[in-house]
Amino acid sequence: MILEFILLGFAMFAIGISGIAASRHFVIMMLSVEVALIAATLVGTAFFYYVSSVNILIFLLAVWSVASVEVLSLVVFYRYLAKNEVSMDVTKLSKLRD
Amino acid sequence: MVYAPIFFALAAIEIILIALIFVFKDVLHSVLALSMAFFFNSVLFLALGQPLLALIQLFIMVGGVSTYVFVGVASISFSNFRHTRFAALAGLSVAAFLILSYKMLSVQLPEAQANVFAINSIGPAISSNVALFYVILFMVFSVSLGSILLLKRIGVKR
Repeated sequence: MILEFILLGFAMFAIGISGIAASRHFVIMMLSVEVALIAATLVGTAFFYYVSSVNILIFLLAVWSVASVEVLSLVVFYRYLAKNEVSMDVTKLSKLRD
Repeated sequence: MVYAPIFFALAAIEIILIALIFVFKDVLHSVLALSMAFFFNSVLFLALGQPLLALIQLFIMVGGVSTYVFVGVASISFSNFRHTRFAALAGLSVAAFLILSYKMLSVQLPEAQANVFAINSIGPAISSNVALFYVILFMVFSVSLGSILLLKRIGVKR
């Protein structure tokens, strides 16, 4: 039954990575990173059953803190882009130089 | 055995919710779908036989991250949010979450018997990696301060 969890985690990670690759909206790309991170926690916890000497909790704390930091920077950048009426399209972020 | 059909239902719901993030046009709906995906990810942790990790996942991801995104990012489009349809969807999802998590609370995977995290395993896990814990704290504060200072610098240049 662990194999199904690992396959599900791989599928979620693939969806997250393809979302980063295919989307051009800034917020959707960051949400895709979140999806990839929760897939990583799921796969890590499922792998923990095979390698029982490894403590997975500190890895999970690292992943959760990365997710929190990413959301923090997402909100700060989103507020900035919305205030200055810059487009959320990431290919147009070079307008920030002006 | 009731375990495998519930697991596949959970996996299908999770994949559909993650796909809905990219289908919706409005950011607010995408954030709603992401928080529902967080809900069902914590049910998947319950299905792995780890209730403590499921609880921490629920607190951090749903209580912290998705609430912050909801207030910070999606609140701009609150005014044109059609409440009726998506409130029903959210209510259905929470009901499914309660039912499935109740089913999954009694799950004991044979592989999971030796490796279940308890509340007293948090201390040894962190105390054996104190340096990494401080690195994580340092990373959180430096990235938050750095992003704020960077944006202030860009703002001054404009």
